[in-house]
Amino acid sequence: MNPPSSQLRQQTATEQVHATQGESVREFATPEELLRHDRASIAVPEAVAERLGETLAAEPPPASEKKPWWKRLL
Amino acid sequence: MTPTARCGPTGVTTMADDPAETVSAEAPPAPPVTLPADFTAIYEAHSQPIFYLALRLLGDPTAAQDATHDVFVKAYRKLDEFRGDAEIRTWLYRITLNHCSNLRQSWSARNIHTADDETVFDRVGGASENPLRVLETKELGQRIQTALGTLPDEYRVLLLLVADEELSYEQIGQLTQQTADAVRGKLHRARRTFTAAFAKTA
Repeated sequence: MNPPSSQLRQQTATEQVHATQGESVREFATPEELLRHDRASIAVPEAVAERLGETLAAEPPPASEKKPWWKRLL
Repeated sequence: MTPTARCGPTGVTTMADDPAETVSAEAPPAPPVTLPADFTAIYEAHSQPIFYLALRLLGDPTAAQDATHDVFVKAYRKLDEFRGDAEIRTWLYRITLNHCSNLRQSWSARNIHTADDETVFDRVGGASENPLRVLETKELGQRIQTALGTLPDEYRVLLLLVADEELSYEQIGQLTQQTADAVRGKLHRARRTFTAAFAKTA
């Protein structure tokens, strides 16, 4: 059943208003598509990398980099 | 690159958040903070999905930043334990899920709640049969967070994991300790529950 023409005009007008305001209507088939779109718009704050660098600078190197003393003699 | 040289992930430098602020011409800029060379690639490849997972699980950007930092510190410390028998993304997700689960349990024990969003959201003009037909506004993220917050923990985790196209159902099953078939079945219900919850945020 088609919506009354006045409602259709109202809907189209509303979408045009949103389009001119820089907002767009998107349609997603599944919630995960919506979440992927959401994820794509979110960046990791630079502060996390900065803080991580400071933390790791104070960390001992991972165990894999440590050699037993006898291996260091070889 | 010499063994002692380090590359930062993004050439991070200190920047003023407010464009109106000016950096003093007298003080030399702080040197960029760098990550260990062998860890930079891991951070660059996986920090964004890890941060997003933490953000949507915890519902708080500051807590998500803290969690992301803590996850990568744990990963750095346990790098020698990573045997390579699983994808590193899966391994990092496991650390993240455990970390966020522990945080939420401690919040619950201390009766800490994240702020409920009571903003009235924009509606898409006219009635729509698809609740996932949305207006792209800055409140979209808040609507998603609100809808996720109403879901059982298991459904929320499954949806966030399946949103990562790099994960297979088998990997999601390993992370959630169930079979791939069980993941498929629960995802079907999780999608319906989320869609209904999301529609209510409109």
